[in-house]
Amino acid sequence: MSLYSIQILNALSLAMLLFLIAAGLSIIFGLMRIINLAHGSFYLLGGYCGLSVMARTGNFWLALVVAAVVVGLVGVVLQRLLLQRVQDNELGQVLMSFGVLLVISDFALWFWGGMPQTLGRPEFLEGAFRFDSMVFPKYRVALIACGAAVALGLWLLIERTRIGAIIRAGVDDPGMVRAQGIDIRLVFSLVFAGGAALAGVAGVLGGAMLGIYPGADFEVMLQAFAVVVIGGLGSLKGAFYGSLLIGFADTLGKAFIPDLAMFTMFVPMVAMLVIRPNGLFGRA
Amino acid sequence: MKLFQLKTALAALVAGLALSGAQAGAAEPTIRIGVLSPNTGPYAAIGEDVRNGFQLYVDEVGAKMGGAKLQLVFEDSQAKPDVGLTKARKLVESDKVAFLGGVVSSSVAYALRDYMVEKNIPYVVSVASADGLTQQLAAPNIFRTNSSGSQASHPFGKWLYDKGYRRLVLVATGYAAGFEQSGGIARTFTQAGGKIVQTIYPPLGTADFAPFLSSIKVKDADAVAAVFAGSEAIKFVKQYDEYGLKGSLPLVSSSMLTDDMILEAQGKSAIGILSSSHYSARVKTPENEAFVKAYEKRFGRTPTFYSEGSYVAARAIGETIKALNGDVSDKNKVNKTLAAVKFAAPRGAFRFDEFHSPVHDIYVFEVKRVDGKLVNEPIAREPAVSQFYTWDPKAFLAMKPYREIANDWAK
Repeated sequence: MSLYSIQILNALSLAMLLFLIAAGLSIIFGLMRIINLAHGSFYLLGGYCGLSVMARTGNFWLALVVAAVVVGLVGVVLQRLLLQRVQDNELGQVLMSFGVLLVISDFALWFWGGMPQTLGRPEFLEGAFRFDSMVFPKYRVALIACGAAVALGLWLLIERTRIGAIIRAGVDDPGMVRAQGIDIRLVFSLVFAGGAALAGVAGVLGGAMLGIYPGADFEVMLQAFAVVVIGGLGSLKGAFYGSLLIGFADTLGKAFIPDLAMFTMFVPMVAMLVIRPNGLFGRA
Repeated sequence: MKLFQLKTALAALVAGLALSGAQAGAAEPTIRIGVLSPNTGPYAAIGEDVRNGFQLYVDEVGAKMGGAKLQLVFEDSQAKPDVGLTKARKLVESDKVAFLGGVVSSSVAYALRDYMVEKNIPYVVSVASADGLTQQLAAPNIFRTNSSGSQASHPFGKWLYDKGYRRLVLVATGYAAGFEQSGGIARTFTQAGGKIVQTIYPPLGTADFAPFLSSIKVKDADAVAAVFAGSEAIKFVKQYDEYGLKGSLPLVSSSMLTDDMILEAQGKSAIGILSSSHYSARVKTPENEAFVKAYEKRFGRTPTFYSEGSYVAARAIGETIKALNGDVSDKNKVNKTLAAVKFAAPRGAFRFDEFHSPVHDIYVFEVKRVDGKLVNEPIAREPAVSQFYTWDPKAFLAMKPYREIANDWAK
């Protein structure tokens, strides 16, 4: 029994980390129809920014804020300067954002070096909870709580606020939103910055759980896309359930059929593409 | 990295100018040594150690040996087999290198194998550990200065049994190096009478080890033998601690799990881990003392077994050139001379076996904190171990390769 409960907690912590990354990716696509492969770079940059801040100040919370701000700004610059130029050209977007991914990963290698590193954690999250023979790290419990809080916050933002209404309207019909006198380009930039900042925060949180190293951007991007394909592009709810599904499929697969570890992660994605190409909550 | 290339370019330019100036006098032949290593991608940090190792040796001898000038030519393999092969061709065909050294990734080492054998240019692998290169696929011009995959594991499995461990869990990356290094421990451990109670092989590129760690059968085992490298090793060691396993089950390993490069990033989670290898910066030989001092002074960091392996490769090449008085025109003769070199390396006495893998001392290291710094401190030593350990090479090669029996240990 204890084995199952630990594995469920493992799955939840991975799912919440994935959600923080995939939420931005999904909303950005829903609103702007931009397929942004450079989203993995936001995670990497966030992690490394956090690392630099931690090295100087030792303050985890400051690291989170700086990572969010820096990566958010990088996101805006990327969107305004580059991706906007290929707005309606999907192949162009894929190639351009992949190019950006490569440039940023080489920049990070040059600037921060190739050594794998780990971020420190706040003191009170070190150590683990123990019940009988069960051991579960405190940090992961905090991560699960944090992911759930962000999910709730985003849901409230999108469903219950004016800016949320604009975003939802923008997903359905950007032309009509513009006709209402709303500066849709500003909304685009804000959403892009928000999504990027979220991935940057995920970089710090994930860096403290899994470490930060060259190649983390590709790993994360692959998983985030699996999540988004399953959940449906453009849907926050989809990103949430997709993360849970991938988190559980990956963790339980590894725990009970370790020989098929990579298989159990991507089979749900392939199956979804065959059965419902738009994903659980995606719209055509 | 850019700066590095610029420096190399400048150095080449200066060397070129010096050469054209010297040409007026007696013509001194130049022997070029190609060094293939990844400058980019996940192995970039290892690649830097490789280049540093070669550079340090060449500088120490004043870039001169046996009446010839030595010149290093660096190329970036990006740790990709196809790129590595293209760069090797460039080094051989346009730079006309007399030796090719370096090579970190085993897949690159294998990709170059046939081409290098065809060209018969001495190919001195200084990091890649794949057993096959110096076993089934051995050739007169293929050499290795690092331990082969299972070389350090064989004495270690026996040592663990002798220390009283009886039941082991194997956890290793699910590819060749993981199977070879963990299998080597399993083979001698089970032959001595120990039992493997569980095998787990997470795939290469596993982001989170939590699900694997939670399924380790803690109550059935005396220790966990783990084989991971680089960022995976950091994650594994930290998560092993986080999940409370560090307190209940000792962690033992091949060298890569706690190599000197990643030890600091693992922090106190690594303390107490036992590993086996031919080198750490704490090996107590006079040669190593001098080597570590020179290396730290020059590059501002502690040498790893990647640096030392590359330094030894450069030294082996240097000794060959010296023995031949700078005449490297006869490839067969060069290969034979290289195969016979013997010297006191930082790790201790060094020579090649008949398959051109090193015969050297294997140490058991324990991670300790010394003067505030985490180090791999030697606690036991087995002298002059070859890749075949106590087996006859023929008998060893007749056994099934480790990757084919990886799933049978726990049966």
